[in-house]
Amino acid sequence: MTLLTMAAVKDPPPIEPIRTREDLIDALGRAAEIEHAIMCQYLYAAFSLDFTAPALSPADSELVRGFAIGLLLIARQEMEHLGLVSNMLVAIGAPPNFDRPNLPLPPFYYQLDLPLALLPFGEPFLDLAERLERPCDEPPDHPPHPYYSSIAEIYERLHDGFVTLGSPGAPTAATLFLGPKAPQLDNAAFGAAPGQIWYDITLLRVSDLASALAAIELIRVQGEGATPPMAAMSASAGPALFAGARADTTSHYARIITMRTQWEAMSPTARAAALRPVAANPISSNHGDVNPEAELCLFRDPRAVAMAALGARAYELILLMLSRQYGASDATASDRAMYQSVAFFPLMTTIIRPLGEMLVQVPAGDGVHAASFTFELDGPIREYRERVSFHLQLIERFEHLAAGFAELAKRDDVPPRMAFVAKNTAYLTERIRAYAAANP
Amino acid sequence: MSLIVCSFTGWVQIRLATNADPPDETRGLSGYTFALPGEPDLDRLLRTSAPVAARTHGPPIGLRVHTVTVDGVAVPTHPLVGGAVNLLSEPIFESVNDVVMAQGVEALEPFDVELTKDGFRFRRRDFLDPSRPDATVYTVSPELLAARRTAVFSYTTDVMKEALGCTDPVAFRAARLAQLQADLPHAYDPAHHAGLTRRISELEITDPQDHRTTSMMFVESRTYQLNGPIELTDPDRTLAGLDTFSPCRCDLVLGAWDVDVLSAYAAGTLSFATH
Repeated sequence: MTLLTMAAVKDPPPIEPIRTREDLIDALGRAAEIEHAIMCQYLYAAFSLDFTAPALSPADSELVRGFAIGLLLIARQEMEHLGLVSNMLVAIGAPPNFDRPNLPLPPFYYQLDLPLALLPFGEPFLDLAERLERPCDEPPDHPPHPYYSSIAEIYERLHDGFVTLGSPGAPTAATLFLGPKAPQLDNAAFGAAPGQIWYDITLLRVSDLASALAAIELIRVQGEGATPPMAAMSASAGPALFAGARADTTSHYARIITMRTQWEAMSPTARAAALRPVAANPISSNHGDVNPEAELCLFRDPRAVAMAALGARAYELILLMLSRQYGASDATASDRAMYQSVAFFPLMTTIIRPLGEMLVQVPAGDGVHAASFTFELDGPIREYRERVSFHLQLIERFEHLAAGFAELAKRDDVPPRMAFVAKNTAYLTERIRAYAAANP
Repeated sequence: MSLIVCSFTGWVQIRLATNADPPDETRGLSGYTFALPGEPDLDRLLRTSAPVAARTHGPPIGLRVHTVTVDGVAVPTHPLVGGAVNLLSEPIFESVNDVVMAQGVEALEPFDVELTKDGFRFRRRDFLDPSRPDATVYTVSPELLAARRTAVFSYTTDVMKEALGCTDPVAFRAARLAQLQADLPHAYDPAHHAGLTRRISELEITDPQDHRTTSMMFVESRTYQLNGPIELTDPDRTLAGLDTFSPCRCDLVLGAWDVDVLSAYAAGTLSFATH
C-alpha cells in the first residue's frame, strides 16, 4: 500500500480552527508528539547509513556522511521544535507533553495524512520526509482541509489560533499567557546569547503573543524554508513561499530535496554499500499502540533485545527529566540544573547515540536484518510530582541501566564500545546519588 | 629565592570530535570537526609536536619559549629562550560530554609538561591526586577534580588577534574558504578532493553566530601546580637551586580555535622557583 492510497481511503471531516485555550493546548500537545516522532524518524534514518563502508569511494563516502550530518541536524532541530512547543504549552498554563505513542502509527492518527514510521534511509523515507516538510503552497485564508498534509499546515493553524486568542481586543488576550514566568528552556539555559546558534539550535522563551508567533515562525522557517513574516503574507504568497523554500538550502525541506537528488545520482552499488541492512519499524517487544497493518521487525537476537530494551529505558529517562524541567513543579533551580546536566549531553550523546550506532552492528535475529534503535516507550511519560521520590526512582532506574550495560559489556559478541556506555552510566548513577544525598 | 618564568607561544593540534558528537566519535558527524578521507580517526589528543595528518593552510605545530624573566626582569640571552615546550603522555580534554565535568572547564588530562633546549630537559606532571598517580577523571573524587582542574572559559578576540593578527572570524574563514576553493581544481587524488569538499562545505557556513565561527573566540585559561616528581637534565645548571619541594606553576591559555585545521593557539608560562 502506498502513502497516497492510504490517505485516499479515509474521509475525515474538516479541521476546525482553534477557538479556545483547550483547543490550543490540544493542538500544541499533538504538535509536541508529532515533532517528537519525527525526531525519532530522522535519527533512525541517520543510524541506518554507513559512510565508512569500505566499498564507498571517498566522494561517495563524504556524500553519505553529508546525508547523516543533515539528518542529525534536522533531528536536533526537531528536538528544538519540541522544546519550543513545550515553551508554548508552559506559557499558556499547560504542562509539557513528552509522551507519544509508539511507532509506526497509522495515517490520520494526528489528522495527518501520512503514516509516521521508522524507516531506513532510502526512497520510502525520503518520500515521507519530503511530504512532511513540504511548505504550505496555499494562501493563508484557504478553506480548512479534512486533514493536514504537512507539518507546515499544523503550524499554520497554531499561528492562527494564537492570533485569535492572543491579539489585542480578543476577550482572551489578557489571560492567554498564564505561565510566562514558569520555567522554560531557552538559549540562556545553555549559556548562549539569545540569537546564538549552538549545535544548529535556537531556543526561544515564550511569554506573549509576539514570542509565541516568533517561535512558530522559527519552526516554519527551519522546516519549510525562508518565509516572509506570516502576518504580512498576501493571498498570493503561497506559491512564492513554496518557491522560496526550494531556493533555501538550509530548510529541512530543501535538505531532503537535495539528499534525494544526490541519492538518486549515486550508483546502485554505492547506494547498497551505504545502507546497513536495517528493517523498517523495529520493536523489541510487542506494543498495543502500533499500526496493526504496518510491517514490523520483532527482534529475536537476545543481544538486540537487551540493548534495545536498555536503550528504550535510557531514552525514557531523558523524557522523565525533561517533563520535570519544564513548567511549574516542586523541582528546585538546582534540581533543574541537575536534570539538564544529565539529560542532554550525557544521556543523549554518550548513551543513546552510541547505542544507536552499536545496535546496527548486531543482528535483529530474523536472519535478514540488523537491529536498530527502536524508540519504544513501555508506558506513558508520567509527570512525577514529588522531587525526593523522583530522585530516589531516578537513582533506581540509573542503577538498573548501569547494571544492564555492565552485563552486556562482559559479552565478547557485543561491540566493545558498550564498556564506554557502561562506564558513563555508572558514573552518572553515582553523580545523581551524590546529588540526591546533598540536596534532600 | 628567585623566580624564573618562561613564556611560550605556538600552535597545537587537537583532533577531537565536537558536540553534539559523542566524545568517542572517530570520524565526526554532529559536531564541527571531522576526520577527512584518508586521515586516521579522531583521537581527542592535544599534540604539541609531530602533528598527525596536518592539513593544508594550517599553522606549524609547536610551542617555543620566547621570553624568560628572572624576578620580573626579561633576560633576552637566557639559555632557555627558544626552548621547546611539549605536553607529554597524550593529553586529552576530559569532559566526556558533561559526564564527568562541565564542558569548557574540563580537565586537560594528563597534564605532563616538558621543556627542552639543547642538552637541557625538565619534565613534571600535575597529578589529579598525588597520592594515587593512576587516578583518572573517572576515579578521582569529584571534589578533587573540580578543585584541581578549574579553568576559565570566555569569549574574546584577544587571543585571535595575538595569534592571527585579525579579530574577525567570519573574514578569516572566508579567506580560508577562498584558498581551498582555489586548491580544489588541483586536487587530483580522490580522497584529497573529497576532504577538501568537506572542508569547503563547513567553511561555507558563514553565520557569525554559529558555533563554527564563534569557536574561534573560545578562550580557555588554565593554571596548574605541577606536583609530580621532577625529571631534570641540566648540564649547565640553568635551574641551579631549583625548589624541588614546591609545585611548579604552569599557566596555559588556548584560543583562536581553527576548526578547519584542527589547531589552536597556545600561550603560557612555566615558572621555576630557585633558592
